[in-house]
Amino acid sequence: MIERAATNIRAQLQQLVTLRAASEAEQHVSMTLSSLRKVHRAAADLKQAYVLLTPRLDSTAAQLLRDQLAGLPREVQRLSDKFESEPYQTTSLDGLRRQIETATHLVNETWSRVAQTQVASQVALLRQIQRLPEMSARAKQLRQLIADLEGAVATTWSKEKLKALDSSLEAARAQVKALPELSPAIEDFLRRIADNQATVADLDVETLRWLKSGDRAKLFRITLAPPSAT
Amino acid sequence: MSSDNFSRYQCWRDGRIGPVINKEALAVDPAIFMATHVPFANIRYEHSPRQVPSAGEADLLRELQQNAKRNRHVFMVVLGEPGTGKSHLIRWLHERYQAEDRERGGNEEPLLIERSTGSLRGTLSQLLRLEVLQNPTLSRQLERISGATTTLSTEGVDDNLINNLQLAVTQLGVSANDLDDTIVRGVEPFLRDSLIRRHLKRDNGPIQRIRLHLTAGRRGGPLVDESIDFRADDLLIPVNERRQLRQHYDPALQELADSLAISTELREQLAGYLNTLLNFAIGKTAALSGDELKELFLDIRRELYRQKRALALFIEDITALTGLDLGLIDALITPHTSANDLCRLISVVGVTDAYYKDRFPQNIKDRATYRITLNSAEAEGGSQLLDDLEATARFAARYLNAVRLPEARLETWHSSGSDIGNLPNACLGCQFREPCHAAFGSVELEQGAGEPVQIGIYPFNRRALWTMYQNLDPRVRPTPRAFLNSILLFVLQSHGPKVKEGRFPPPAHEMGAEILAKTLPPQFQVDAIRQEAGADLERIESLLAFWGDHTARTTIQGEESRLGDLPEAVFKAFGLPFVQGVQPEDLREKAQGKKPLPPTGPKGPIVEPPAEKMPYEDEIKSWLTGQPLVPSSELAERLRGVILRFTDWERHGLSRSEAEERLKARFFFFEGQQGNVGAKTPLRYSRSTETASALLAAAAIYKEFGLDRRGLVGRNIVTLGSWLRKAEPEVVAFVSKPGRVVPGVRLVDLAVEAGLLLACIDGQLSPDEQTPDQLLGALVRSCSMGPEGEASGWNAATLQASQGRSLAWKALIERIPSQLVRACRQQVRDLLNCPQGDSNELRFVDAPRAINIISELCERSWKLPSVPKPEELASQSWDQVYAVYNELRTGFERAVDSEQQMARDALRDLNEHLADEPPAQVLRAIREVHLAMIHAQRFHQFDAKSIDEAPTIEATLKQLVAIAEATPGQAAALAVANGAPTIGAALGYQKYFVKVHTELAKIENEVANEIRVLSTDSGLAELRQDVRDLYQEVIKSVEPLADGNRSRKARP
Repeated sequence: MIERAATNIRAQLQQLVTLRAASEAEQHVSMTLSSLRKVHRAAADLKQAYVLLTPRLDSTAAQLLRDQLAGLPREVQRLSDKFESEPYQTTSLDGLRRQIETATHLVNETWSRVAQTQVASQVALLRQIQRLPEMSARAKQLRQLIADLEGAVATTWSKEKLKALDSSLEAARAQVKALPELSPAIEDFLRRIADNQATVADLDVETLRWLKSGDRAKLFRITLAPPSAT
Repeated sequence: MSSDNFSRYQCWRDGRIGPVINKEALAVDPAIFMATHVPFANIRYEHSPRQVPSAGEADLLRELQQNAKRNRHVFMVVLGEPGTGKSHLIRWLHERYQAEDRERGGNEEPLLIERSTGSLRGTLSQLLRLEVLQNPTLSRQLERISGATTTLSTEGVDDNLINNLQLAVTQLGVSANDLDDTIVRGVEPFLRDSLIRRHLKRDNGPIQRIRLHLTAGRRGGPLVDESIDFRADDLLIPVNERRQLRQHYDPALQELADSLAISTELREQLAGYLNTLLNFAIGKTAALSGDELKELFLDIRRELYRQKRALALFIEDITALTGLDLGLIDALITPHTSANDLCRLISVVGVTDAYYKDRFPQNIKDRATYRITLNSAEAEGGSQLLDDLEATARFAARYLNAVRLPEARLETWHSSGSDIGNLPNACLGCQFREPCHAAFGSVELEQGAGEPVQIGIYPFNRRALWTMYQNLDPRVRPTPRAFLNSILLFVLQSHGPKVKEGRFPPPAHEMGAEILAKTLPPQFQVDAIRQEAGADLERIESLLAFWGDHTARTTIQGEESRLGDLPEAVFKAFGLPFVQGVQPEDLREKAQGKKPLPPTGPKGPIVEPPAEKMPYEDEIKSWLTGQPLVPSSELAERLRGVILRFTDWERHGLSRSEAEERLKARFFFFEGQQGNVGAKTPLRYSRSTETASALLAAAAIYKEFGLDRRGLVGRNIVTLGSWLRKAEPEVVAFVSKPGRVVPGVRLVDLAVEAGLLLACIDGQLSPDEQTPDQLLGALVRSCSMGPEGEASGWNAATLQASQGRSLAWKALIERIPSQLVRACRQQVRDLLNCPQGDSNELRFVDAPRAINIISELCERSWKLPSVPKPEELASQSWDQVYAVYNELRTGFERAVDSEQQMARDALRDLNEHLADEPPAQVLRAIREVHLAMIHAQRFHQFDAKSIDEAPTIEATLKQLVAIAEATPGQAAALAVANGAPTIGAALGYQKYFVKVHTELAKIENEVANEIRVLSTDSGLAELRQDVRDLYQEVIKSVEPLADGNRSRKARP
């Protein structure tokens, strides 16, 4: 009686072990799928940022970025190849996801640094122009423009944010171009003042004439400073 | 049943012992908790802002309530060694505080954080019970705690812990800790190395210890307040593992592992360093740091403040929060002020002394509003709760009451308010209350305004509880927990059932695993009661050692005689004989170094009578002149001794013991004697010089030498010899007077037949001993074991009967008390032993007579014929032998039949389980399925017996057949005589097979269900395809990045 029952149960237990292994495998694959979905979302974000921002970078920065990110496709391919033999990949995929997120952050950050430089230069020029008497009527407009530029540099970029940045920069340039008598030499002089780089050598005939014309003579003051202060 | 029957009575319920005296305290039932709560009366205030009126718990509660009423912040530390009752007191404070706040309609949120399993996870889960956390404004905080508990429940905590220790090394730095360079260089690779990690994660290793603290607690084990810290020994890497480390090619790691192996100091340094990282690592692992917990708690207090409510927090054991403890305590010591928007907080925190000393920072110690301790002021490591005999009795009484009551009664009481005045008392309905309380004592419970209630402490008495507590093994701390576990729980569980069986108390050394037998009565007192106590000696000794005054002294109190200061009722209650103990005079003589008995005389033969006047010479001479004989009783006693000693009783068909019983001094009548004589027809002695000479000689022999052979010389013996020859016929006639025995029946016949059947029951016969002379040999053996051997033999038979014998067999044994067995065997010895010539010491067995009796018994197929009952005047020997004979006559044959039936039943059941398969095959099948279950991680409740047991099973089956098929009569009796081990073994195997079979049936069902569940289409293939597809999409997403790589490679 006992022997028969024991034999039956042994057969059952064997079946159970097999089924449990299958169930465990299913659980592993399910967990892997869950982690892979997160990787998928992260990869989509990276692709979007990469495609959007890399073309705007200069070739050196772009190449540097490419070099840093080049290992990711290999890692994805490696994990994909290993899946058949090692279906439980949660830990590896979580690591990969973090790498992709870091990469996305790097792409955004690289472009942000470039954008920040462009914005800073333009804002500095606008602040100089803002002081000119002929701009007093457009003071409010200029303040808004400066604020828009300063707010346009994001940490994560999208098409809309890029468009907003471009349009703010374009508006700033338009304001500068709209100024009468503002030759490229004057514009250059004003930028050097904004950067605190202007020297006596910059005061050529054209610049001096522009400075003395209108009510501008009182707007700019000459300060003598040793070279180290500049 | 009348109160006179108060014997072997069990008034408690076995099933209630475990729940009431809950060793693991995982979930204390509130009803039991309140019913067993004993008020703390000696709480010591080590620090208090003001004087508290008394050391009682009620004043402590009032103090908390007063503070609450006056809106004062309280941080109270409750100190105490493990087991002193901290958790109990804190739980009680919480129950009462909550109940009274509810009654007042108060606005508090009281929360008890139980020690529970002692895990961090369990403790954090309890925080989730805070009502205020359900408020949407605290959803983030709720999520944080809930998240922490979930994190701790997931797998991989071990690796996380080590990872976080490694992270702590990186983030907190290693160089600033004044550590040895070897540690500075090697600790990071040490924690990273797979082999070291495996070592740290080993069973009972440090990581498992910490993980248990975090996740599961000490489930299934006793609640000990164990530190989770790294210890130096945890870091000793075994030599073979260090050898393997060499293959890891990390010099810093190798150097550290080797240095740890040789330097205890370095191991201690590394353990200390890792302990400094523990809080960080635990916080990271739990995804909740101490600082975060503090902030979270402050948020809770802010929300309660916003709701105009207050918080009262009762934490049974802060150890459970190790890792986050300091953060929480920081939140608890922060008082509410007008500026910080925190609610008022009353917190009571249980802390062990060691934890307080080692882990409480000084600034926190200084900020405790109250610090109280439950440690005993007197006993180191002891508890104030059990300071004296009365306290242990009070403590035990409530638990004993609870184990006597059904669960439903306590639940009803609890649900109606747990008023101690209405606590159900199991003793009230007990028929034995009065004799029980009088003998064992009772405790009056504090009942407030109600009637006082007496609760009995049976089966203990006050002295037993106190003595056991005092006799606890020195390695056990004398705490309430130890009292409950090592005394109440152990004694009731291990020995409680013995009360009904008449085996309680057990011998002193078996009383408890942690109870020492230190208070046994002095050996000379034990020797004094040995004979009368017989087989019960050890139990009586144990009773006197624990229940009594540790002596075997008999005293009189009022009209009551006491032994070891215990009344007879106590002995009776446990089915023990109330023996005669040592008298106080004996004790005095003993104390003075004198031997009370017998007096010693001069050595060597006495040729001449003593020159001085003979004893009683004047009295006897006076009797000869016509005066009454004084003191007649003493002289009669002396004469009796001489007669008993020098008469050849066997020659007259009488045994010595029969003569001793019949011939009493009170049956002697000396002419002219005044007063009553103890018999209608006494032994009469006329006033004569012959009698007077005999009396003088008897008195002289006693006086000078005692009754030994050496003294029986000289003229006294001549005188006595002459007198005895004449007096003997009358004395023999008196002792064997017709009318006191059954006509035509000899006592020796009854004794021998009964003795043989007793030998059979006692297991003294074997199937090989079939002839009358062989049976006589066995009979003589069974009667020659001496009193102790006989007692232990019969006790063993009784014990065996209670385990592996049929009911009829058991009933027969129970109907024959051991003293009757002894008496019957004594008669066999006396009646079959004949003197060798004149010798009183050399004797031989009257074998022909015995063989005749046995042969007749065999011819009657071991059936005992009916014998009329002896008349009332029969001697005690007759009565005793007849009683045994009669019980055997009516019960022996039925008992043998029952045994055979039992063997047949056992045989049938075993064969049914084996189902015609050889035992080896069945055992192999069980072993294989057992291993298969282990492999399948399927828990089951049977072990696989060794296949080597198969021959034993086969032998058992053969023996069962022999017993079952033996011819009724002698063959059957001899077969069953030693059948108990066989039947016992068969029952054991049967029980085993039933257990296996039941378990297999259960598991078969469970496994089938599991298979059914797992067999449903899993969809694994689809899942795999989903993964593959998704991988392709991810690859597409990251493809642009690869272009860059290709373009770079393409450049020259």
